[in-house]
Amino acid sequence: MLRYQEMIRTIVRIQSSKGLIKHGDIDDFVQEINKKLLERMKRIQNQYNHSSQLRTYFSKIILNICLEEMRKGSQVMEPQPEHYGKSELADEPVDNFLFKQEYERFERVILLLDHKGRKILLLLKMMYDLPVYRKDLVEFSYHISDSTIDQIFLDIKACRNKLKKEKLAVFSKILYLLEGKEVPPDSLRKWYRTYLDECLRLMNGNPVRSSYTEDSLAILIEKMITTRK
Amino acid sequence: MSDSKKHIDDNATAQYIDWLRNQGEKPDQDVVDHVSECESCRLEIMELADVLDHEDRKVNSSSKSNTLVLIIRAAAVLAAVLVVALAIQFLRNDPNEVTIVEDTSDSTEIMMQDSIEEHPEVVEEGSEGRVEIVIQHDTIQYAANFEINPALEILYKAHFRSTKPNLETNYRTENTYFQGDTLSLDFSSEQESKLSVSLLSNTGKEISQLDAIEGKITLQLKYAPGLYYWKLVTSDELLLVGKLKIFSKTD
Repeated sequence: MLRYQEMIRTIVRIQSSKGLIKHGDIDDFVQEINKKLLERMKRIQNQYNHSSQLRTYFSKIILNICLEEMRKGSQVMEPQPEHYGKSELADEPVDNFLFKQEYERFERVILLLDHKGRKILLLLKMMYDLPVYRKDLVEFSYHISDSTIDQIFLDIKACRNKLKKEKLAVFSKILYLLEGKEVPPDSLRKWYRTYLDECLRLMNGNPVRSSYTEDSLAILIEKMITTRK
Repeated sequence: MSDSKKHIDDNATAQYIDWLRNQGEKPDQDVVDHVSECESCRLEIMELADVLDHEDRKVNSSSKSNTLVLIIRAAAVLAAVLVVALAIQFLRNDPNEVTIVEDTSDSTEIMMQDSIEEHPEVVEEGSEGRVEIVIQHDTIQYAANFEINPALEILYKAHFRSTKPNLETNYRTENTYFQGDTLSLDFSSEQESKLSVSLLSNTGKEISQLDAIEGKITLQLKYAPGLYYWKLVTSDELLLVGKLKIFSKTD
């Protein structure tokens, strides 16, 4: 229990910064969560199935109890800044390390969205004329033939420096080659907007930790491609 | 999680987070599918992954600073040990190190043992290259070496029953010699028995004993400054007692 005290406090602070807990009530919440954890320890141990690290499982339990306690109070407060206490990046060296860290976050977002995430990444690369790799296409379908891949590369190359509308039309064609289904460019544009916003929301966090836009996300991807080269 | 309409359970969420952070295996496909469709699950997973990242960074940062502190401390200890070791080594090997050894023994004995000529200050090289300067005669010791021995002084002035041998010496004024001089005693005696000379320190200790060859004895005075007595004896009789003083050439 002692080793999780910092984690409990961090989770409570995050809720406080969302305006769900009064800043002055943080200590009380931490104490209440500790009490509940002790009361439920046996049940927690029984329910834990060892498919994850205990620490990770515990973080989920702490969040559950915290949300439970918040529901009791039903309090809504002014959001508080600095949910992690000190700025978590204050001690980190900037530039490459920071980009790497942020790109890892972006990769997580892509994973979370699974197939849709891979599609967003490919479309984003096309929209900003970023390099598209073979693995970007293979991940869509393991059965894709080399000739199809070559055809897609030609299409991508052909739409460089074109308008977004034209690029969406080409991507619609590519999707047909990859998934075998036709998606009208207009629907594709709406879909792209929806899931790009979702990506940005996840990247920016809740409470908001950064302010990514479509452009800055593309710059992040470009930077990582350049760095990895 | 079995029903895709329900949120994933705590274990599946934790497993998903571990996979996302490259610390665990990929969860079941239905879990992945659910998360890709469920906004609240995605938000929760991202939030907890961020919390764990934050915790890890804090641990790494504190362990780095702890490591740095440990390295600095270890370096300081090593430096201190090195300084002490160098100091010890320096004291052992200092070629200019001077050890003053107090000489409490009779200077004449030392000179006899070492047979060092000329200089009263014995300069020796120590076993590890050190130089030891043995100052043999401090003021008190030096003066003591010239003190009269009452018993021998009486003999010096005594008249013996035996006939005194005619003695010719190369005595300097007041029986004084310098270190390295030669004392010659030339006897012409009626005695038939063998003559010999014993040299005594002022403490009465016999330092040297030489037999006369054809009535002559030559003695190299390689002894420390001081008062000395000599006795001319036959095998069974004391014939004559003499005395002499030896000074250092630097005195």
